[in-house]
Amino acid sequence: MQQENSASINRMHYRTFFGFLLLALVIIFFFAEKSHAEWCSPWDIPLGMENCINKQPPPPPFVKSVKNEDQHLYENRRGQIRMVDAADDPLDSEYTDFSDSAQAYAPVPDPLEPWNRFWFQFNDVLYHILWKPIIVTWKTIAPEPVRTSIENFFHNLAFPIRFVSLIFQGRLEAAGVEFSKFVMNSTFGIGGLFDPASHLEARVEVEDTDLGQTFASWGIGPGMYLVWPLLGPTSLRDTVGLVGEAFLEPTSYYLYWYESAGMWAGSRTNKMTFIYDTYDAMYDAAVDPYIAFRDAYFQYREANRPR
Amino acid sequence: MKHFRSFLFSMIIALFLTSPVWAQNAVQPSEAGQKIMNAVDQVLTILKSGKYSSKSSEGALIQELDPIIHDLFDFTELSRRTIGPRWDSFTPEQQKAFTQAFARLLTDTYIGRLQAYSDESVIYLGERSGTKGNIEVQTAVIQKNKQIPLYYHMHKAPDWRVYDVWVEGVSLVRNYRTQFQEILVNQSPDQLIEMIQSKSIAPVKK
Repeated sequence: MQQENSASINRMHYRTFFGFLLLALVIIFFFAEKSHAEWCSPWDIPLGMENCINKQPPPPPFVKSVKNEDQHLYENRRGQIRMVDAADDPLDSEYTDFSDSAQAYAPVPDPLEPWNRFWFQFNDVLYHILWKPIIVTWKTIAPEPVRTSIENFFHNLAFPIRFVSLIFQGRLEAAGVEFSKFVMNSTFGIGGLFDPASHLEARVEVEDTDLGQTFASWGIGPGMYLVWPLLGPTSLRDTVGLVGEAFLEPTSYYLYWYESAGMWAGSRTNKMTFIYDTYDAMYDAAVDPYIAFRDAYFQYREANRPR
Repeated sequence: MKHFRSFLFSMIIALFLTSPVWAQNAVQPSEAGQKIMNAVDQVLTILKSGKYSSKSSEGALIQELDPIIHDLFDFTELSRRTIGPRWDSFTPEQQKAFTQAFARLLTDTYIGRLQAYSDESVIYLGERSGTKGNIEVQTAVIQKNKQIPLYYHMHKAPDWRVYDVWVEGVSLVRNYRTQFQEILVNQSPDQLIEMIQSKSIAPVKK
């Protein structure tokens, strides 16, 4: 009785196995027709994602500068290349900022400095006495895959922010990629807990973006620097962006405000387990942490502005 | 036999589904890029040995890494750029004291953080050169689910040395320059040097 059972299972296995083999052969012949260059993209998934059988790291953004007196190639972190005036290239500057060019380095507008400094101190004290112990505890009790999954979940949930931002930035292909990722991760990734889309090659690289960066892409400057209690460093422009994002968060419509706030705090705490030592290092290494964080915020936002 | 056959089949499938790894994307680093990658390899080897993972061995780790870092970084140039045009108003003694204190602050804080090193790796992306001969070596730190771009600006004096580091588009020199500029409005160079010294002797650890 038992033997019969196992035999039928074995036969089943064989049938499945040969079926699979046949399928594999079809795939192989399909591939054999393709040249090397096409090998990587036979399965086109709609909206800009490609399945890559043999995923290679993206080609290095190797950019040689043009030996031109006035203009340089300048390459940002997304691998996009643009021309800049030679005088603005930090690599050629004598002091590593733009002060020796016509576009003189202007200090960050910070008319509310005492007010901002107060909230910066407030946030830092709160971080050290309350938040950091929670972060460290959560890091020790939750294994890394759990924390990564939670981060993936919240990242997936915030999809409308990135999607709407990309559309308003006029980057429709990137919005398509972002949409594909969302569909993929919400279904195969079990509601966004896992990130199967990361195993696919996106046709365009899409960085995380938000409404503040969208306004920046329209040519709106950061305005003045602002530090909010709990929220941390931001700018006038990005504060407006944050308000808009609250309307794009699906949770704002389904949860009470205190539930949303709790979820936000939880996701921030979970995210901080990955980066809090960077914050500590920056704080410890800075001579005036307030200015260090202000400058880093503006530099970071400027460097990651969509162009 | 059965097992062998299925093994054979899976081998054949594996063979077909694995295409040759082609290396057309590899870019040969220049002398400057090689220097960065060599130093990175040295530091990662030391960290991977696990000799210095305990908190008490921080001093020993700093001692071991100090020569590598001082060979790679040009702290005098880094300091000059950090202070900016005011650098010329510093006396040579002040310049020397500032360079030493600043180098101490940077190495101590960031080496201490390296102790928490887990299995990150660093890859070479490429480089570009400016019109004045400086080179930007582009690398990235690979973490579990993301890449952090880390660019080194180097100049040849007399061999390639780093004078600025850009992390995700944020320049280290420019970040300190903003801080020191505001401090130097009200304070003298000596007071600034003292501030940096006191910071590096007792890093703020709340």
